[in-house]
Amino acid sequence: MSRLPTPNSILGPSYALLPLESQLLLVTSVLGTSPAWVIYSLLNDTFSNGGDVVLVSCLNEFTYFRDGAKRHGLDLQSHLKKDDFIFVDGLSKLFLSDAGSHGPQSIPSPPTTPSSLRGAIPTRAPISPRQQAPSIPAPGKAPSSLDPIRYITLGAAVGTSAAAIKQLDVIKAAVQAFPAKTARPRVIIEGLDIIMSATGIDVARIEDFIYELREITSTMAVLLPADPPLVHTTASSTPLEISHANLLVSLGHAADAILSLRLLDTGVAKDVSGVLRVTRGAGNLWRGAGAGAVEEKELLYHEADAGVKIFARGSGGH
Amino acid sequence: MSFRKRSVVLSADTTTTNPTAATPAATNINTPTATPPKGTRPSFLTGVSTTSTGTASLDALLSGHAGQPLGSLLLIEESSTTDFAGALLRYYAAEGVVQGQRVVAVGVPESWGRELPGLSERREDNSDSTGGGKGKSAERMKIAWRYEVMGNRRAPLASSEPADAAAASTTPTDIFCHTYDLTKRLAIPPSSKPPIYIPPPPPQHATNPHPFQPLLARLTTLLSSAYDDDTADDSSTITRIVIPNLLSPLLYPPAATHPTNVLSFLHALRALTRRYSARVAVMISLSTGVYPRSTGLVRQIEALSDGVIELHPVPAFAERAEMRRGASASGTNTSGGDEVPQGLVRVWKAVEGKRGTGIAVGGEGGGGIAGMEGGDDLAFMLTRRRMRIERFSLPVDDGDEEEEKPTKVDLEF
Amino acid sequence: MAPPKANEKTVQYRRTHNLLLGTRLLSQRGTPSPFTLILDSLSQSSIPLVEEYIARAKAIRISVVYVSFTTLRPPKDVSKVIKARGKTLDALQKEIIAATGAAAPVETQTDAAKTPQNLVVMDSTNHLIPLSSEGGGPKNSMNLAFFLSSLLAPSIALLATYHTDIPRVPQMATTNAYAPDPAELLKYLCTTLIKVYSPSHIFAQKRALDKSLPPPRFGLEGIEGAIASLGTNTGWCDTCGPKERSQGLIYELEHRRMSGRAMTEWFFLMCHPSKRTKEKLILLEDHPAYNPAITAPTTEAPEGLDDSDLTFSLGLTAKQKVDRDGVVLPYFDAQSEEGGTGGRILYVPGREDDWDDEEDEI
Repeated sequence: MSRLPTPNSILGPSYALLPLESQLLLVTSVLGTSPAWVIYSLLNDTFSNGGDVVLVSCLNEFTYFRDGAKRHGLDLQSHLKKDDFIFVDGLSKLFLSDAGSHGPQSIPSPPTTPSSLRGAIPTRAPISPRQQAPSIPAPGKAPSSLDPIRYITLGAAVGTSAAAIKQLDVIKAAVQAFPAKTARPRVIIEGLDIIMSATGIDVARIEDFIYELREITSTMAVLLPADPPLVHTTASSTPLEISHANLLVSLGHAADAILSLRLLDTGVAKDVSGVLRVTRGAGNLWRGAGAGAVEEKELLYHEADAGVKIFARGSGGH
Repeated sequence: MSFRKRSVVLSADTTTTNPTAATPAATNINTPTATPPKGTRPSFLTGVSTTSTGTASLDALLSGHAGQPLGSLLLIEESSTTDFAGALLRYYAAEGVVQGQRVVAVGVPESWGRELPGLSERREDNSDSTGGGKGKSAERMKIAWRYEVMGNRRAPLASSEPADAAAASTTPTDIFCHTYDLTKRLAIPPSSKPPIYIPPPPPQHATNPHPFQPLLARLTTLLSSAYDDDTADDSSTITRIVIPNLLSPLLYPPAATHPTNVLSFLHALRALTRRYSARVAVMISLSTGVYPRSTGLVRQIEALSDGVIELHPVPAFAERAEMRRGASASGTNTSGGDEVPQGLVRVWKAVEGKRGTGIAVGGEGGGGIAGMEGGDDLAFMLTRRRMRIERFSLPVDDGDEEEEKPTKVDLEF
Repeated sequence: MAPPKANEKTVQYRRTHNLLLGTRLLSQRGTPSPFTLILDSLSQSSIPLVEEYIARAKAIRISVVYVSFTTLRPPKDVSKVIKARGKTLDALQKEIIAATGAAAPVETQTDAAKTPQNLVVMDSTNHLIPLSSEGGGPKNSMNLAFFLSSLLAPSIALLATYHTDIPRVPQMATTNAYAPDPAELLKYLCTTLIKVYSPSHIFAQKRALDKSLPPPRFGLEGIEGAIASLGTNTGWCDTCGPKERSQGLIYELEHRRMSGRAMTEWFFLMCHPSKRTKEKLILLEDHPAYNPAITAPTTEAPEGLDDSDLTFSLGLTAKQKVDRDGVVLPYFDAQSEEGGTGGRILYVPGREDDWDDEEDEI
């Protein structure tokens, strides 16, 4: 089962000593690298420690993670049925309202009615199991087999950013939906940048959102792309680029650790998928923050059918 | 001739399926082990259904799937004002038409579809004789040099093939990827539906703050009427969505380039490909001359795509080709000039080999990006007959064919 | 910014004067600095320095008010934490003044004029700027300069951090294009400006410069896709563990006096007190990793080149120098215009040279 590296093996052995409270991990990637294994690694670690976790993705649907996690020996489907995992789907409906609210044509209405899709969720604090399965009636293997419980689809956020902010509250409500335990839940968010740029939400609002989530979570992992155009800003940069760089660097300043995935500098190799760099974030520097420390390192990683291997340069990984 | 036979088969096909149309399409879809829809075949890598892009050597670039996985979105970028990407997209559309799939061309007028290339008439190209074709395809397959791993895979595949071949001997339409002739125009076979056109946002709506909304609404309607309704008889047909020249200033109003418009459109498109993941494939072209890759907007568009391939025409190559053609005019090899690449191909984001992971090419070969292993450059060449992508080798200047030949590894199959 | 060259001549003076001033500023004793601004980046956070300030403030019983915009786990030593997120500038101002006023003035008789009773620490002025009228905050909000000057009573010292690498999202509609950039305004208003650097980055740059190599680039300008370089927030120490070690950093300090004189100096804040001086702060040049020539900072630095134990002299007398200049090296005049007579190439062409009398010449 443990074919995935544990957070301790990534962040240093003393990471576990840190207080599990408001931790922030910033995971950056570039085009061509897949940070999904870091998600699986965090999920696996949470489940094996009996914790709760919310996975939010605005880039990929549940089956994507289900299939990928299965390859690495993690059964997300079963956890979805248990009480320790919530998946928030920010892809399927975010800009695709079947509601026909804007479509002039008569769209053959899918089983879900628009009214149940909107409105109901954001207001209710502890989310009762969503009654509507994500309405994918026809093809696709996905949601029909999915238990609707613990599977939340973000509603439409077409047009104004106000609608999108409402969807952020849905995510927050999902985190609060866990029954109170000693350990706070973890949250993993992917594709927040897409929400930000595609809806035009102000970057400060996104930051507030992350701050609010950190207050109620043990560890929060934010996955963002760090391609050069999105990081290096000049006077002529577009608002999209500046907002993205602003978000990324702001989070970098608050993070406990920054995990950067990039491609091998020397080109593509058969037995190396990319480079993982772990650096200490400012959040880890406070002396009073416990005995643990994130240890900086640069490792190669290789993702294959046999699992994910992380190894030092030159050690070959075999 | 391949043509006539195909139509025969298709009619046979429909007559056989129509009586059983009572079976809900959904179940049909949920069990892809049943006869795969036309123009698809399981991926060599994972078994997921793939369909051809209409360009064999492009199929070979797709992470060992040897075809475009259904439910994915390919982005073809082109860095100059040339229209090589347009040719790729026309092949893509033509392949869909020939395979009897539903082709939806978004953002272009109908005239775009009149220039789809016709099927090549060369005997060996679209040969459908079972024995010869199989042997040939097997041989061609070997040339997918990038995926030597597939050499191993082929053995079990081939062993299981005879049964298929027997069944398929009467269905000669099984060609996965056809070969086209750019000088011909595609005559739409009677068995196929003509492409559906969703026009670009009308110019008088230049001030429309949401130029993509009508496009998206029509796409959604189209797809949901085809697939959401279980009684629809064509719910097993594959839909290809072709979006040439996305954001081209000639087609789209300026407001379209705003992230809140174009990114939400692409996000919705991505959601559609996932919702109908067994039935829909998308190919988009984008000019990186107008929208450079160094901008954040393009990076996010790329992040929303499943695969990103950039064509980078190099005019110097073409000049060289001209020179060489002049030099070898008296020579015997008249096609010498055609073999010169017109530009470079870069794979910026590989289609995911195994979904949900970064494993690009099966088992042992798992680089992050497929396509450039070992640092080899890829080059493309568009000839009268076909578009090819192959390993780039600088053409030898003095026209020494003997020297040049062995260095080229042909991808074509 | 590249590290300074080690300067043998002035180091002795600076060791006594600048180091003393740096220590007093850090301890908030004797030399007042009402507004200290720390500029940091992803490569080195200001937190170790801020912690040092807080620890020293606590040691002399100055009450510390921590204004938190982004910090969820503020340091334990502070007297009061103000959560600033989501508040307006007016509310924040009232709250800070209330917090600092509430702290009863203690020991007013002992050097009250020099030592403030309150240290206000602000974790991110990047988040303060958008609240102000310059930063495009809500209408009729206070401007930044007014906000800061309203805080600066003699009993209050302000220690604020600004993250230099966070690009500011421009607010077209509300800001005056001719007003100074808020970040520049902060730099102008502060009385002490500190830039922090990661020791391992500074040392790596110094080593490269010593060999006339281009200095390596770190942080966002480093390798594509890795937003922080190795050596980020790690400090530099041979003896401490990773946790303690990271309390060390290098900073460049500029202190502006009322007289107009400014003092600029590079310091190294060590993670543990030096055994000899019992002080964590040393000059950067006194750190052996930066300046290997320095072995013991207080022993008299050797003057010039010490060659007393050599058996020969490396120097030249005046006559020897004149003689050396007079030596004519071979081929020297052959290179002059006329060709001279000094030298000639003697070469007999062979058969393999394919010599052509009409065209070729030597």
